[in-house]
Amino acid sequence: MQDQDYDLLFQQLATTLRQGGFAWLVRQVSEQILVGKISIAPSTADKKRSSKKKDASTGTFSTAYTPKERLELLIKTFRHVINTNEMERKLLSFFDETSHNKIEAIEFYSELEEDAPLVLTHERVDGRQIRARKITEMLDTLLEATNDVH
Amino acid sequence: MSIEITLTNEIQSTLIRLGGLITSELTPSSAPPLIFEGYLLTLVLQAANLENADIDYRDINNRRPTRFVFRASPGYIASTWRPYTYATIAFPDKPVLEAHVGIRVVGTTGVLHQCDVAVIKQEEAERCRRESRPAQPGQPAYWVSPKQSELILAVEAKFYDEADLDLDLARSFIGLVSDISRPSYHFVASTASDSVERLLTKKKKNWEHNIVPASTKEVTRLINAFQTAFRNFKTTY
Repeated sequence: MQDQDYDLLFQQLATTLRQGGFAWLVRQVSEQILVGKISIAPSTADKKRSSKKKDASTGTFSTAYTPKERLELLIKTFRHVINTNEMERKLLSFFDETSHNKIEAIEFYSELEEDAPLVLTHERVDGRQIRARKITEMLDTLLEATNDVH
Repeated sequence: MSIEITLTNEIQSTLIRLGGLITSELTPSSAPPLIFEGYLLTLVLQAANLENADIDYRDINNRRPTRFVFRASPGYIASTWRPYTYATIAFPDKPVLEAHVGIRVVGTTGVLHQCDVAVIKQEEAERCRRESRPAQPGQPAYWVSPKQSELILAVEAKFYDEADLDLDLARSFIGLVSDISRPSYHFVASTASDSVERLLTKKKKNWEHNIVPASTKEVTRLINAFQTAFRNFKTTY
């Protein structure tokens, strides 16, 4: 697979995500791609302690993502977000087990009036679980396929 | 058909099927960080449970709720805007503790800081509720926040899509911790970042990464760290 193939696939997946309401996620990933991969080089004091690192530069550095890494970043980020479904299930089950009452819902309210509340119920979370698992499987397939194609 | 063409077709067909499954209802943009904070609260409570605490839940009206309400943005512990839920943690013969999500605490310099998850002594929480006053006609609201010295455990939660666990946030955390003298303040992220971890390790700050339900090893390690905070509390009081 050539760099332009990874770029094309990135664009196709980004379009699919935007159409599905995940433009915010594509934007975050795009911002991260602009920033690059951040790393910290040893400080001068560190270098003095280790003669092996004498030639290394010091400070914070950014390395650009390759087209393949950009695609992997988008896939893994989306998978990470979708997998919050597992956390939702843990939340509901833990509160059910430790509360004296049966929990009807978990709600998150912002004091900023314009923000809609996030409401988790067993029904909603279970309903999303099947779809979340299917999507995760497909994203894993995509990751494997892009690694297999040479 | 070559292997390459077969795989490319597989990718395209996977993309089409993905498009049919993805909707914004699946995960709104504001949801992941809130769910992560709630999940971390359950890990704090699990740690308390393992240290033989009794866990219970109350709302600000001191009722046992059936709908758990948490803050989606930082707020005051005594706020009556919603019937916010908190957990009570009771160790035998020790002062009762409360665990809250998204409350402000007063740092050593008097500056207010947000704690994504905070465990404080109930006595201090009750003082804040008693001394605070919601807005009334002709009188603005007056809120009292817990003192940092009364924090038993605090967590800075960072849910990150792999994309944005950056150094600025770790540096902000270091600044925050410098205004909170309690030793058990944890930076907990849902993903990993070498540069962030390196910085926090160098500054001798508590951190844990990859905290998602599937990461059994990291989750166990974090619960152990929370247990240590509770053990220290039990021996101190």
